[in-house]
Amino acid sequence: MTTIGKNSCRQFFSVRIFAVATLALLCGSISAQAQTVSAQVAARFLEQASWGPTPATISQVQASGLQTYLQQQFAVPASTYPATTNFASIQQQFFVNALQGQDQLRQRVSFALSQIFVVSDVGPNIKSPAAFPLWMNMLQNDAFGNFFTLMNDVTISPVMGSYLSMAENNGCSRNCRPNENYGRELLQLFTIGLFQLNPDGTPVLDQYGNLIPTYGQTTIEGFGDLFTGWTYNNPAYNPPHFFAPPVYVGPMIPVQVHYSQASKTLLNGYTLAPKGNIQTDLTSGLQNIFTHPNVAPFICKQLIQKLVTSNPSTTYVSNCSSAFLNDGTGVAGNMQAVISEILLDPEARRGDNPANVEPGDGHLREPLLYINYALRALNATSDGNGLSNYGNVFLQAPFLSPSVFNFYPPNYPIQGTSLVGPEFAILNANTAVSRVNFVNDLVYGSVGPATTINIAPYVTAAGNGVPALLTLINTNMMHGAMPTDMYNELLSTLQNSAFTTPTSVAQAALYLVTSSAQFQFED
Amino acid sequence: MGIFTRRDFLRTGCCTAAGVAAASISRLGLMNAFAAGTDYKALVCIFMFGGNDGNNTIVPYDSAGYANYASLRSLLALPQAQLLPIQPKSQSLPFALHPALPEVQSLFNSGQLAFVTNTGVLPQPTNQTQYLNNQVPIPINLFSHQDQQNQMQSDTLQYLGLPTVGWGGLVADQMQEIYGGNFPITISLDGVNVFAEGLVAQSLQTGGNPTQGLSGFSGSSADNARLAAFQALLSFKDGPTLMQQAATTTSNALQAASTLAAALATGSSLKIKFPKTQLGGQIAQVAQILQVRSALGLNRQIFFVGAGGFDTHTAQIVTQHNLLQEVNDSLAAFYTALQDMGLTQQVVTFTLSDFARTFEPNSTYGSDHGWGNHHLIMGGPVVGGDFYGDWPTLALGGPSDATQQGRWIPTTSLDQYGATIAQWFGVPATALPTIFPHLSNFSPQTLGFLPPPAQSVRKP
Repeated sequence: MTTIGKNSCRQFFSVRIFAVATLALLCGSISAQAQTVSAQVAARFLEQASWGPTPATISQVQASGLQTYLQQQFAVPASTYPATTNFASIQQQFFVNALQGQDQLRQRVSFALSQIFVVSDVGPNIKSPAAFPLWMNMLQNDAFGNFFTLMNDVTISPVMGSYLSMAENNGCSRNCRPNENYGRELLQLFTIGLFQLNPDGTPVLDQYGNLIPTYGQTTIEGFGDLFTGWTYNNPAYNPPHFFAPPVYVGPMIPVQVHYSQASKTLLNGYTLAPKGNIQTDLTSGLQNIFTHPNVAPFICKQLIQKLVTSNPSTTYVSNCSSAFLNDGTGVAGNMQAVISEILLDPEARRGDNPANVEPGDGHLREPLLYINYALRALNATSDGNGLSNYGNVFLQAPFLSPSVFNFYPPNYPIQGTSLVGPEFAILNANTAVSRVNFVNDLVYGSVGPATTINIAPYVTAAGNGVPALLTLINTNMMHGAMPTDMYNELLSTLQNSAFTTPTSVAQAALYLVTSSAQFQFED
Repeated sequence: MGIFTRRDFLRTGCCTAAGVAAASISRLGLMNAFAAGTDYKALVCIFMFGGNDGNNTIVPYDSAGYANYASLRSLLALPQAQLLPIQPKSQSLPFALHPALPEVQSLFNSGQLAFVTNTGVLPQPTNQTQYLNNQVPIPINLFSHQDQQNQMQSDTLQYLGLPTVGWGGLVADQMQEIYGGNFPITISLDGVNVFAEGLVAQSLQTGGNPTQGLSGFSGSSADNARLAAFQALLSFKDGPTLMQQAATTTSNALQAASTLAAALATGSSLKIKFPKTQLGGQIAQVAQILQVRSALGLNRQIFFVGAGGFDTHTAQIVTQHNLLQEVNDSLAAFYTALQDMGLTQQVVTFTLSDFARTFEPNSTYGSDHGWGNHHLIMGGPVVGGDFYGDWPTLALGGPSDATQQGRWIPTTSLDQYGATIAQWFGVPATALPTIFPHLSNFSPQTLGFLPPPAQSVRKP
């Protein structure tokens, strides 16, 4: 199929329901044209599919092509979080994994999932930091599996059990009432949201132009009753014991006698009969959610926002929803199909040609992505120590979301535009300046006692003149898309004789680029 | 330094630099409209994020009322002996405050603090029959944290996307038009919050150290060249919309930080010790800024501060005690600081929260999301020692209940609550309905816990 342009072929078939694998067959695997993946395209792709490109990963993507690279990344095992109760070391592991791990895509996806399925050490609910390695290992393990598996593993995780008080939620019937917390947030934040959605992510409207809620209070109470009877798998207690101390070693276990015996009205009128079995009811209840038409667009849009752009078109969301609903073999919830679609969609690849970037494209790099991206761009090695402090200042530190609503909402609106800019909810007057000052520390000082950067290639380039330096920076850090006005400004500034050594030229260039809005923003 | 306006094309002729100065002087009849002291007022909004349990903040204290409370709240009921008694002037029965609120009690008893009871977002008066039979519009997503936080801050109760303008910002717009000024009228010390967003007047939404400027520039010629390039890069108006937004936010941030730093340098450190908590720290910053209000040259200021953790689905007794202690201690310290600065008659502090919580406990020693809540207003001008609004019938499934678990349908709207504050602050009566769009559905439109301003300021 060499006569049909790659992008138009994919676009043609993408508006119909075809799995990614079939698309590849029809349009010719991109990997068959690997030699045409430029360094710029590879670098931009890696901005979306990793914590930031490096010369090594750019070469790897060029050699294999985008699609094969994805397949390789799906197979790379997860960088694990060692079991520990030392919270600081768990936070450090986040950065170590980001800098060193080969499973870059898995980490990006599980980081995105961790901002949909939120747990946090903020507040009194999680009783030991040991929860967080268990949680992250689960998310990373499930990131490339099936979304239903993820829903189940989240639901019976003791970490989520503590955080949203599902653990030891008692199915009592007299003078008390099961806790509604997990049911409410599972529906509102983790799976379907508050309003009915079309597959393209737009809200369904009734005949008066009103939004249509996905559930009412009765359904909340139904799920409140469903999520009862689960407790921590505490090895000290056999048989399992409600109100035993929490432990974070493995999934929660069901205790039938504490399970609500009431009937439970769930979504769309589906009702579980009274006196059901706790485990089979849980599975049925989760299926009831999983088969709701909202799940695909609700999850797709947020994953797109985390990986590619804050404002995807309805076509883009629709393409992703199709992949969610059917991976080509009739299976729904195949995360690999969804991720492939998101990253290979024509809209994700549109900006590979900078001339095609549209005003509404892209997203502000959220703080932890910005930190990791900057560190990787400057060839940093680190044990992670000290980096969470910057996260705190930027209002996004690992495992410290202020609430189950994540560090920022996915629909944060930008006044005066029709756009949302989720990451702007934590770009206030203080964090904006803090980001710039982080760059000062990174380039001219220290961001951690055992973090070092290596700017030797840039110093060498500076020795060959400012244009050579800017070209290298552009290739490594801005996928070759540095705007002309930025280039010219840097060129004239850096040729100032006040910069007396190649090192001072390189440092100034790296400061100016890394702190710029042009670099903080990914398009 | 130009006037901070968000969108030039919305300004009327009165709000250009020269126009404001001239208009202010002619309207107010004062030679120096920017001198603080004669016509200066400030508002401080404390937002309790998560939904504060008002049902344990104010408790019936008469024996039948308390017995009913204790029976229905069961494992969440506070022991009567620990409660702090108050006698609201307009109530025949006694009430009491949560044990963690001793200074709030004392301010209530001395008349500097009042409560608005059973208030919340509400488009029009609504009774139980109307609510249960869907006969009236109700706010969208009533029991959702994010939506209720946005609605309490913006009074926008129906929307497709989240609100982009808050009533604090709209009040600031009115003040900008009357008084002008060269610095944002509204300052959030708790980061980005829609409360502070206006249509015309720019706000300062910051946190941490709000005077932070750029590090690493020594004044050497290399650093000066680098600084100039840094500023130039921020000024470029190409690239995607959101990228420009990031650049604008950063430039505005540096400008505001620099002005604020210069103003704060004219002050001295506070003698009062504030609690070393999130809320305590933010309120201390408000006090510091109030101290240097003349250097900022503003006649009106609005502050937004926040405290988190109120979403007590579990372990409510201990958790809420700690949270209300933080609120109490922060309010006490702040009031003392206002007394020191002679500002008690000019600063009004009030609370907001997502919603109240279910009167009936859940099975994990906590409560779930409710609706109508009780809020406090503190300040010299407050007609204190009293409740404003109605007291809900504390019965599960009773006439006040939207459900069966004790989620009270508000009997006073956010519109009335906010309009009373805004009116005292100097917002013209004609502007109140545009800021509080449901106001004309309610009567009385203002509640009386603050008097209207002594002299009305008319727009040209």
